[in-house]
Amino acid sequence: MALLPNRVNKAWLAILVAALFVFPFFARILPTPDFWIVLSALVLIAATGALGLNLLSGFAGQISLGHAFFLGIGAFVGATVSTPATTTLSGVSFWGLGLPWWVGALAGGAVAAILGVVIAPAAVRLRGLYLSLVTLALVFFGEWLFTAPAMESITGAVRGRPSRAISFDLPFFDGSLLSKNESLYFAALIVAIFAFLIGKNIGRSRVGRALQATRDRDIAAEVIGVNVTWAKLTAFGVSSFMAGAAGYLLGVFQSNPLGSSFGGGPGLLVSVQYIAMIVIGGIGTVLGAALGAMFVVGLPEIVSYLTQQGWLPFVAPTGTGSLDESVFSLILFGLFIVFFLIFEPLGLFGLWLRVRNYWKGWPFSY
Amino acid sequence: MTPALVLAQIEQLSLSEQIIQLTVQGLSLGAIYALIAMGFVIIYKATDVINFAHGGLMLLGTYVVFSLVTGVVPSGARTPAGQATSNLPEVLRWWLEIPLAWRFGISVLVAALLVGLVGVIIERSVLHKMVGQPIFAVVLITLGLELVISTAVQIFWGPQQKVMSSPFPPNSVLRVGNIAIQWANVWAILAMVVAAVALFSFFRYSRYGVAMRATAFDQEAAMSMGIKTTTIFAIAWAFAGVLAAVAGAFYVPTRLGGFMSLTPIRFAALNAFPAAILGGLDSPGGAIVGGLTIGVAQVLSARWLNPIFLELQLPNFHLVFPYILMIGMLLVRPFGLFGTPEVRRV
Repeated sequence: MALLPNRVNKAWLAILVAALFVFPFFARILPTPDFWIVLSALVLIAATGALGLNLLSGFAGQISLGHAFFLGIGAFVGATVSTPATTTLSGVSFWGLGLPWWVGALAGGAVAAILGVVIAPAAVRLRGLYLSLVTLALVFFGEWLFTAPAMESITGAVRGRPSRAISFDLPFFDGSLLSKNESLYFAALIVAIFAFLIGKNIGRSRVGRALQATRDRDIAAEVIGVNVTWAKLTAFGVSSFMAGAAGYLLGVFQSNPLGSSFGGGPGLLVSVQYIAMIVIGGIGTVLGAALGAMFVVGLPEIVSYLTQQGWLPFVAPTGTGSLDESVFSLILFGLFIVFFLIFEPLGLFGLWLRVRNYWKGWPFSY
Repeated sequence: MTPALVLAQIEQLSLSEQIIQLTVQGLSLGAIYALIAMGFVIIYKATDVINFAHGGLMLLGTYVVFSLVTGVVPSGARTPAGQATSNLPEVLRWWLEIPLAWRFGISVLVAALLVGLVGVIIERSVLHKMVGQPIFAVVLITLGLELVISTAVQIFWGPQQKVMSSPFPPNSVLRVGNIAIQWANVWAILAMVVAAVALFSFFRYSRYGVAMRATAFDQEAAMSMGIKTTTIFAIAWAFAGVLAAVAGAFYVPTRLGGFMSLTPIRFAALNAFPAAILGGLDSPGGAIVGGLTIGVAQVLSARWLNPIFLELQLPNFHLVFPYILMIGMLLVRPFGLFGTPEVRRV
């Protein structure tokens, strides 16, 4: 199947991409521009990461709880590459190369991909469930490594390290025309576009079919000539690359990424949120990753809005009670994961398919 | 998880005394790992699913025990925190008159039954609908359930740290020569032995236990012999809940010194995965061996391997050591020491 089967698809995609590029300038006239810019940037970053996880879990069928680890690798490697070397007031000297942001994103992705390929032999030997335990170990291993004093000049041990804001200073373009958040948005948009091009192409080509065959019946796949080892290596490499690039951008957004937020309990929650994205969006679909990211990033904001409007009287503002906005969002994520897996295994993408197919035949029943 | 407190005193002992002291501590940690790992194993054996919701059940069990033993009614953020004072209504005050040891014992039993019931409810209401669906989806459902249960615990009991009163405070120790063992550790090992004996006699002698083994061996054959496999799944979940509650009740006094906060208890169950893998994910006996081995290995590594890694500026090596053992085992023998090798076919 072609990337864009017909002219209608091409036109819609062109409109969507143009709208995404114009959006920040439109947002400037909204009452709270920064809120919308940051929210959309976070959606784009999450979509990139979720697409990576969807290629690994949805296409290749390898459950991974270690996504946060690769995000963390991307955040710290990317920050090291893109931030100049500094010494903080507390006397910690950080390594840094001070290269442009896109080198940081590529480097973060590349190192994460290499580590992903290093983990992959475990995936070749183990199947599905056992692998999820290896990747679980990765999260705890990440906590230990990221917060170790030995890594202080890269990760800042327990206090985190600075990650320089993105700027688009080009010979023909003055980067200061864009605010810090707008630059982050455009960087996230560019990374996401590349990620989705790669994802869509993998999905419709030999590689994607090899991954799906590996997921459905690995021995049968091997018998018909799919190199299962190679397929799993590819899945891990591409998936971790996207996680690394997304992690770098996440680190830039946090401006001082903390090792403890990518490992251990908090890291596991991050991984579970990414799993929520692909389950809610639609397992094994490229568009699903984007829908899921929108849903999972947007839900806390919707909960917060509804609380302020007084529609959720039992929910307290963040940090003031046991049932506050963030806790309520978490329990909703859990319920949505369960709900979608039982009633609509294809997630939001499945709902979208139903709506589309209904209107395709309307007003005839089929 | 912090042997550091004891380490300061331990260096004054002779080497053999150190080994005995730390091994006993390791066995008590291992007993808790074994309790948790048995919960994983029972569900995996019956339903082929790795149950990530087990941590949530353990958290729930721990807080139910806390509520019962200290007489605190959960009331969201207003739940008494710290050294909890009871907020029981007047009519129920007699409960606090009962000696602490009895109260704790009864509380653990009641909590085990309650969490077992929660396990059955989860199986009936959610997982029952997933029979025949891909295992992948069921495992993701248990992850979602973990999120729901743990968050619900936070909603009911509030996020503040609490203190669970138990009949074995941290300073009550059993002394044998120079070796000092906390009573909490002794009781944790005893609890594990009692739970294991009860479980194995159930499997061996009860009608349902035999039916469970038959179902685990061959589900279709069991069904055709008239065994209700859905009942078996519910029993498996009930046992998992019971084991989770008992593990939680002893985890707090032995490892956290009685201080309860949400995150450490919630993720403690995950630390028992290495134990389950080492022994074999479908072998209850293996869970005990694996649990004890991992517990001892973790405590001994904290004493003798941590200093080596501390020189390299990598502290707390003992936290990842069980996972290294687990990955090693998975690469060499994925089905564990006592597990059944997987037969693969197209």
